[in-house]
Amino acid sequence: MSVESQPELRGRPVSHHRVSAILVSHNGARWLPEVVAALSSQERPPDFLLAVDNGSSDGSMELLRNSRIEVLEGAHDSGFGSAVALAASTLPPPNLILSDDGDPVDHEVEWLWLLHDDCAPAPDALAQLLAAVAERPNVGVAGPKILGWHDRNHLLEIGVTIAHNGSRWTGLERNERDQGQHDGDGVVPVLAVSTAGALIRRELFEEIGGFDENLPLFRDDVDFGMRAHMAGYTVICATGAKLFHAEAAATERRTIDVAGGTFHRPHLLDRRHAAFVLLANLPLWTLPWITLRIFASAIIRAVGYLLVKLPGYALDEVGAIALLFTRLDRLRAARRARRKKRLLPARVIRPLLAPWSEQIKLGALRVRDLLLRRVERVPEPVVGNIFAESDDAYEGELLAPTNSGFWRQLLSRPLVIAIAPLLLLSIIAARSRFGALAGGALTKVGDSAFAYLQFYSQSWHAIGVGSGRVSHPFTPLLALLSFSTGANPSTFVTLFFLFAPITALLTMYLYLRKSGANRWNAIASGSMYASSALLVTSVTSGFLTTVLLIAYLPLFALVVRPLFLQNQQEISWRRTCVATLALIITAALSFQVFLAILIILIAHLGYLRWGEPDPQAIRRRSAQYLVIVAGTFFALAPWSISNIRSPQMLFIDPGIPAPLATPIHTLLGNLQPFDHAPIYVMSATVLIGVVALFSRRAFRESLLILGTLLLSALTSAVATQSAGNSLAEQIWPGGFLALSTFFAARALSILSEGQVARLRNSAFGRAHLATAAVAILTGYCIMANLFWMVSSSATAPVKASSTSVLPAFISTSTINPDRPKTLILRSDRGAQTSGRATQSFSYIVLRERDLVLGEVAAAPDEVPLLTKTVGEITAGAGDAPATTLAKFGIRYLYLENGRTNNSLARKIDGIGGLTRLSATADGILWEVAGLTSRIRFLPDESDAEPVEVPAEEVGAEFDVASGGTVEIAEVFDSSWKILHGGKILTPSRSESGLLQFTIPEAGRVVLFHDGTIQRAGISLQLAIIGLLIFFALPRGRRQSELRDEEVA
Amino acid sequence: MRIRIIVLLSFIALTAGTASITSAPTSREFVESVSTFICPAKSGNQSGVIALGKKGVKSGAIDKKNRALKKSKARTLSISQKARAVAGESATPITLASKGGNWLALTQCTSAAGEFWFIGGTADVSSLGYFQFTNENLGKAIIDLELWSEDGSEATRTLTIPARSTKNYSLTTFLPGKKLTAFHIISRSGLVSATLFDERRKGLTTYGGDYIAPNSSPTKNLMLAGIPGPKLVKESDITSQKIRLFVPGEADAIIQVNYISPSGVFAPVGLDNLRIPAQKVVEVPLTNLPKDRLFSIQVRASEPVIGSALTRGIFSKVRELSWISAGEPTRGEKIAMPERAGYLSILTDAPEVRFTTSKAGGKRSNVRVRVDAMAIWKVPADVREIQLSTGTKPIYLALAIKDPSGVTSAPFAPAEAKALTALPVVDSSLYIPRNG
Repeated sequence: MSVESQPELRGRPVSHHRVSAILVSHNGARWLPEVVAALSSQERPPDFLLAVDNGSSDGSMELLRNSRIEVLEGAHDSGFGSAVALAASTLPPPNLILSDDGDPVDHEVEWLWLLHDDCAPAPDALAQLLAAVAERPNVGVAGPKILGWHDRNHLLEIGVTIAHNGSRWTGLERNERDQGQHDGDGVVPVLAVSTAGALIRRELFEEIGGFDENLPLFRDDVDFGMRAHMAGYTVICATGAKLFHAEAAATERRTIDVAGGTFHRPHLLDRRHAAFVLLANLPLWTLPWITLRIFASAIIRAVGYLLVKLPGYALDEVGAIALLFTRLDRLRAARRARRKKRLLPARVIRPLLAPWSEQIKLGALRVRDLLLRRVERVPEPVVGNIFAESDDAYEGELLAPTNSGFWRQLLSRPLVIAIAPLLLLSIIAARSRFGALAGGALTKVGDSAFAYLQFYSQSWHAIGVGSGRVSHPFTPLLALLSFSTGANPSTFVTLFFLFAPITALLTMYLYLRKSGANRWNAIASGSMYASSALLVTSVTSGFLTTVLLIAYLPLFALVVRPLFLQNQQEISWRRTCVATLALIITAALSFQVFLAILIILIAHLGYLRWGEPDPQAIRRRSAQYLVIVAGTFFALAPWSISNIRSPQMLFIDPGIPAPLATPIHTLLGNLQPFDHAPIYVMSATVLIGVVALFSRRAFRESLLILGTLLLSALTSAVATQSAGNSLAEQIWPGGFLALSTFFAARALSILSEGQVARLRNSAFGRAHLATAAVAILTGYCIMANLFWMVSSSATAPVKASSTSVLPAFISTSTINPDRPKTLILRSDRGAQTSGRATQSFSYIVLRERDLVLGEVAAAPDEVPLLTKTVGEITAGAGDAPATTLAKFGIRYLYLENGRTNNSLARKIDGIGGLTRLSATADGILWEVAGLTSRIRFLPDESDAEPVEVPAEEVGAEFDVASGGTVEIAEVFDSSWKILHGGKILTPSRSESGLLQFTIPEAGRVVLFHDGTIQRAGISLQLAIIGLLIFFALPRGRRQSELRDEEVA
Repeated sequence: MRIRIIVLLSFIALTAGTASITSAPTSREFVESVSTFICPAKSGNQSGVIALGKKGVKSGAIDKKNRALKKSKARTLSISQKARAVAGESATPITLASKGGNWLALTQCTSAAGEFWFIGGTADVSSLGYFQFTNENLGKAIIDLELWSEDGSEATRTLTIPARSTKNYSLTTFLPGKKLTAFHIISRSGLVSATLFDERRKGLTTYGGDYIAPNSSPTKNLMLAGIPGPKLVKESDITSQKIRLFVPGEADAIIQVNYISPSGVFAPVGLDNLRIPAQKVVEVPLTNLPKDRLFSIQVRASEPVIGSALTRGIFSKVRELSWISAGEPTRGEKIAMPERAGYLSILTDAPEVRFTTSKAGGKRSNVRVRVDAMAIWKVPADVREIQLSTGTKPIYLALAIKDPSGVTSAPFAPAEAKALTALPVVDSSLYIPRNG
């Protein structure tokens, strides 16, 4: 029966309300004195005060009795609900209210005021609660605003609800302070209130049967609130009433003894009860969806707890669900009981459940808290927001009038002064780079991150004549980075090239500020870094990995800096794992940096050994460095392992090799890739290195600058053959140069710090001259490099390009099940050789589309037979070049720039087996005669003709009518297999160096490439990275490990 | 401080040392590809020789048997009914043909190509001229023959030249009745060598004959070297000298003609601002000609043109005609001589030209000729080969010969049999779109 059905009960004066306070105690001696004191100091004391002690063993009962409170004894394993029910049963019935005539006209409204032994109400709490309910006769439950016990401004609850996944939902941020921001008009309608301090109409309590016995602890409040709503009552939080709650059970300040409290695990109990409450109260038709969410949430939360190294909680998550669903009979009984007693349908509570959007927001905040709040801190010279002004400046702002010129203040900030022009220049410089980029060392970039990830996982790449080369680890890194631009790597590269100088400036500024540099100093050094010759030439020449590296190096340095701090004698293993992860990213961008870091770590170890007498500390540090180096190397498997025999391949940039100037040009920081950047584009790296060499403050940096410059020169002196090229080219030393530029910026910052004051206070000498030289050259470099960056845009190799190497009409005609290839031939009028202008020819083989960045690094090696055949074609000679092309599955020969290669076109016209199909200004196309499918089957019969076989991109599945030979137009690789008649057939090498299988009889043929080794490599990589992430993540803390001030 | 200086010096030394350990990028391998020269077959009852320059040059007739080339036992070979392939390593051979008392004709043997321009000949009633196509390869060749006359463009003909064969086509079959003809041969499949011969006769009167050398590709600066002048033959009566021009583009060309002779360079009045209509073959009479033995013509045009000069007259009582086509500068190749006395026209801006001659017994001698725009060097009869030293200035050559059968002059085009090409390479830069 609800209040709504008894209109005569409305609007009772407060004097007609009787309050019976029920204090439930269980080992709460720690908090009870204050609780009792709070009760006794109530402005409006309760009419009755009754305590129930559930088998306390800490003297709680004695404490209560000594306070002259009547105490009932409950079983030690009885829950909160049982204790309340026990107390309520002993309370006298409500008093009758007599009329002026002495006739009974009504009875008092009796309220049960429930109190925990760890909650202390404010002196006016009960009065405020009664005032709130006095004018609201439909209120069945009213609760106070709950604040922290230890931190009394810590807002814990203003009512409570539950999310669809069972999370307890207060709608408050973590550690939110109470400033009255949620008070509203003093009454907030809610789904439920905590049982701590809850004022419950006794009539309602008895009507719906009190608390559910299935919920001895946790979530009984939410369940009660739901049932109150379904019984027609409302639940409010009276924000004027305050209660301070220690939440001892939920925060594991005491053990759980309730019946069913399996293994004394509060978290398990909480999760199980959460699910129970949802499944017992929500409408039947929503249960499948709720069940699914509970399961998914439990798994996600379990994984999350595992990641923060709280396996106990993870087990609780899974165990709670398992335990709940083993006792479905209880759930059925609970739903039956609610059906009998509810007045309103269950859907009335749905609007009061936690909204989705808020849940997502809260989840994100929690992750942020987890990552930021608990990250291991090292002593930092600068605290606070380093991008902001100093605190003093803010104080000044507070004192200043509000209309003091926002823009003037904004524009006077050093960072804004540096960024604004740099951004403008970057946009102007990128005027020919708006769109998909290509040119220089940069091939076209794919537009699907997922395609990149798939390519990386493949053991055989269907590119060119086929390649089993392991993909560069930059490929998946690019894919992951591109998720920031909607999983579109092409867009990511375009945007990154546009904002590369800004990004480099910001990261360098961040690093220098964290290192203690003042703002102007950090801006100057950051500007030098962001306008370095290396960055501008890398952008215009398409060295994407170098550009990324330049932007990332300062962040990497921030991560590894604690390893080298003088006062940081012991490094945690977690920091070691974080450094390893950072180095993995760096090495994926450039293995040259890995080598440099290896050298630096060895040198640092030697330095520590020299100065550290404790051999155990040295051993620990050695082990940590070994983890960093070995972890990085094996995390780059299978790429790193596959190149052990040819280590020079590790140091090659994954782009197109570039012609470079002589190694001595590294001293200018400008190797003039593609002969594009003029000599006046340079960096002051060497000068800074030399000046730093003779400085006490930056001596270490000078060694690093000169060392990495030397490594740059050595690297660029080496020519090697990169993937997909016949000729050896110089190695691009982007990694070493980036390091030297970074160290130069750092050295400049160190040298500049306080230099003006020092020079003022000293006699004119070489320090003045050196400072002037560095300042002039640095200023010149910044201006000259930026000028060139802006002016060279139109002629830069990298441009936005919408064209393709493989014309669209060829691409369309090669997307067939027979998967033919196209040979692209280019002829250039070369340099004078022996007094004559010579023609040079180059070629590639494409399938149905162009290759994109990442794929080029896995391009197949040159096939001598194919090169010989192309040579015969260009010479207009040879026995039957078209036959050889057909064997390689090449159906089309495309000569670029046909009109300017008229004589070559005529020669090709004259070659038998090549029929000209079309000729345009872009190129001339010939079709190769004969069977040019990727897979052919030659039956054993002597007079049988070979037939083409449909194929997938890599594998194939087809039937053969007889025994014979399957020829596959892929270069030989022993990992190719055929499954035929239940047996695995191995390939043999044809005369052309291609794959072929002998099929013994008719039947189904399944062709596949065995990628076991590749999968093993990637598994090793994922396992190492997963372990590193696991150990790098902050360790979560159990509730019991949190400080009291943190929880309440 | 000492450590710092040591570090600095070490850095400088090691960085400088990288220059010595630099492993240069591998360069492309170049090969000299050599094709064969094709010398034309004789037609009818003409006779002639192919001058090889020396003994032992490999050659062979082009026929279905596809035999290997054999070394010749003599320095010259008679022309036969079959065209002859001559190994490309030798000096560029030349063919000297004649029909007793009727004409004398000289032409360089050429290598097969996919494109030729010809301007010359006629297809009127007097024409006995013909095209000779030779396909030395094992596959058939298909060529398109684009035709123009004084009336404009004519219907293109497509011809199939069977493998290892030579085919002659009369000019009258292509352009019956047309007086002025120009041709563009484009290979659709396969490579051919083409020879154009112009012979004219009206009733019983012969008007002579001559090979018409392939023209240079259309250009705005035509050089026609070695046109016979009145002093080439003592008893000569040059009845007409004309320049035939054709503008293959769409726009008319404005031309200016200069005469170049050992006497100097001058621009004749009336030939300094001529409009040549596009797509039509025209002839321009040459007036006020130099009185030298041989002279040359330079045609400067506002649009690319092709052109040749026709000289008709009576030389030593023989009616004869001679064609000089616009040629390309020589590249210093070795050229076989017909072992007859003649006159070598040398056209260059260089003040001096040097070349080497080979004579009987392999005797070599260096010749130095001073040139003032044009020089004429009298070629001794015992010279078998000449080889020019080329400089920065282009040099145009033509050889003129006279004998009782008539007179002839032919330009020496650069030999195409040798080509220095790079072996192809796989190059990942091709993955980048060219205009990207």
